[in-house]
Amino acid sequence: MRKQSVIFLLMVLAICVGLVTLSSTSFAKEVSYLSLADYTGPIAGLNVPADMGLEDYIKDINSKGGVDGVKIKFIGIDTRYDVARAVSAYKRYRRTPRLLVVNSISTGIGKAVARLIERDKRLQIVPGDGEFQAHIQRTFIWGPAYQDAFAATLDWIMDDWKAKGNSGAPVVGYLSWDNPYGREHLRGGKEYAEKLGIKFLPPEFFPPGTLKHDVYLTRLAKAGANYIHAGGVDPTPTNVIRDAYALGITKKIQMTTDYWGPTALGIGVHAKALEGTVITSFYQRGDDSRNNPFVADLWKKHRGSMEKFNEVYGMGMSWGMTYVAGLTAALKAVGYDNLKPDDMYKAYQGITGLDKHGIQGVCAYSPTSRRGSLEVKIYRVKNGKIVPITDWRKAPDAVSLHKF
Amino acid sequence: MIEFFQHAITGLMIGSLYALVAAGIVLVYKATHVVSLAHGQLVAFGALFFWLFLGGLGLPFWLSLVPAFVLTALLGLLIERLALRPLIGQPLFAAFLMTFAIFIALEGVFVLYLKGETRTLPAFLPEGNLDISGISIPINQLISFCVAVLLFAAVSLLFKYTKLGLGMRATAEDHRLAQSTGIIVKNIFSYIWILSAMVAAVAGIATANVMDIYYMLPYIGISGLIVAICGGLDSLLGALVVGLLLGFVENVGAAYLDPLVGGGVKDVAAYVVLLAVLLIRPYGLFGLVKIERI
Repeated sequence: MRKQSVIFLLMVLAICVGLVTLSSTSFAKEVSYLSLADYTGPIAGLNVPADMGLEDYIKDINSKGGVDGVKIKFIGIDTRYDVARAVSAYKRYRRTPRLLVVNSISTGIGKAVARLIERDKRLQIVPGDGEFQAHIQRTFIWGPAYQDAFAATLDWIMDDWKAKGNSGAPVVGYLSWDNPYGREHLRGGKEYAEKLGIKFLPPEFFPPGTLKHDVYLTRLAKAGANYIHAGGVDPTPTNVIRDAYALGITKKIQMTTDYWGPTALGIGVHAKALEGTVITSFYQRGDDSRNNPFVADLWKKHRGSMEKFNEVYGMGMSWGMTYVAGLTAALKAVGYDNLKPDDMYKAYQGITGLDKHGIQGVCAYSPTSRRGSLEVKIYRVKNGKIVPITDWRKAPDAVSLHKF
Repeated sequence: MIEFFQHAITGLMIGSLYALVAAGIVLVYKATHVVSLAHGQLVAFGALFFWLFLGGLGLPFWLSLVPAFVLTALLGLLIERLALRPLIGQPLFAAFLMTFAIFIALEGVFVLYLKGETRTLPAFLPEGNLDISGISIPINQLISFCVAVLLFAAVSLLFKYTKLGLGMRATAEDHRLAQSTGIIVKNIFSYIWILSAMVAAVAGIATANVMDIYYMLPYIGISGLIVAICGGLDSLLGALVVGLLLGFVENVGAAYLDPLVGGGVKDVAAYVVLLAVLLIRPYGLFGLVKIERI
């Protein structure tokens, strides 16, 4: 009996050792990417298609054998736009082997996780917080900073104002979410407006999910705004512009939005209200994105028909391209066995000029730059479609105008 | 002055939505004495069902409305039969917590279905604005407002002049006494949840017409709950009056106080009203004051 027990225990032990060996072999060469994303909350409309693009891109890379034989593991966590949930998720996953990049999709979350990233000597990417350009650390921005892109919008506003035969400078109103994202554009953007001589009205802020925005729009219109910039992640900007349209404001005042304004997918239903809206974007929008073969092919391969195509998908792909370029450089520098998150941080600073197949401008990461790219393109909603009205143009450096 | 009236009218339009949401909560409370936290989900699902037929399947307005009502009513009935009926005889707090659990469970289904996307209702009401002496009123919202007022009138009449309404009022007064007169109280519970769900569907469709169908929609239930409490949990009139009042206070307050206090009035107005009402009239503005012997 005793002998049988010993044999049984030895067999169990052998199976366990076998399983451990097998699993460590199958995950022998793997690196991780953590996405702290909002899949079910106020910015889900942005996060879901973006992470779809990233995941599909990673799947493609993995199916081709990975990066120099190293497979990429995508970990997506639903934060519901909640900073506490995101911080807790990061703490839970920070010990994941070879977790090289954390994408904190929210300005508030990015700020909160940044300290932990510094402590762990890791790398974080965030949407557009200019603070990380002002104080160079381990946090990188997806494109130009929010304030840079807002400054580009102001440049366009000045051009448009003059093209309409006006002299002097216009009056510009701003309304957005009452949170770090909503306020970020103004930290440098406001100074840039002053520099251009634009009269910038006191900004209006409201929480995500506000039913009607009439009060804020009426106040800005009454104060004499010629242009109103509607912030927030869609559907918020769409709903703000719908309200403005219902009030008859869009007839007299030009509405503008940032990258998270209406997508081609959402414009169909509110085409009338959104007509003429100007969108400043650092990634391709509308048919520009739909006609980009690199983006369209991946979508068709993984998602089928282009009927439900969302241009944010392309932006997610560009995160993947950056990751792959960084990983390639890091592997070349130290090899897989010595690879640490800090090596990825070093590698990201050296991928300056990386071409992203036209989805956005070339990568501008360097030891002194945390901007993912420097260019923006201005689009306009025309006959229910998003059409470009400018070529790629360099966004002004508004970050340096603000004291952080 | 025109500006004031513009803000006031927009506020009343929003207030009518709050009132509609609150009406469903009041209906359930009137007959069962359960404060339903799940109501926001019924509102959201009502809108979603309507969208499925109107936007998803492309059916005409009336053909979309009927199945949306039926499905929402069915959801209300299921909640009552499966989750709340087993709790009859248990402390009311258990039922209250159960409605919270239902909210969370249904929220899971709601967000899982939406997958982070937004569903927009195609325009099913006339668009454009009515201009009255410089005051602009969106026609679709004016229709929503009129529907809300008519619905309140219809439900009040049902309560006052029909046999079913009498049964509901009797049940609200005293379950045992109602049972002793031959009223099947359990059936009344079912009917009231069906009615409440149908009112929620109207509220959901009207609200989704303004803010689309996305994860925030169920949370209008919180505003509805505040209105119901302030109006008096058992008063339909209270729900209507306080709903309109809250919309008015939020909008006019934001218009004139925001510049003085630096913004945010709209976010806190409802809670300030709730606090003030509860301090002055704990049973709500139109609620029945109950004096209990100790």
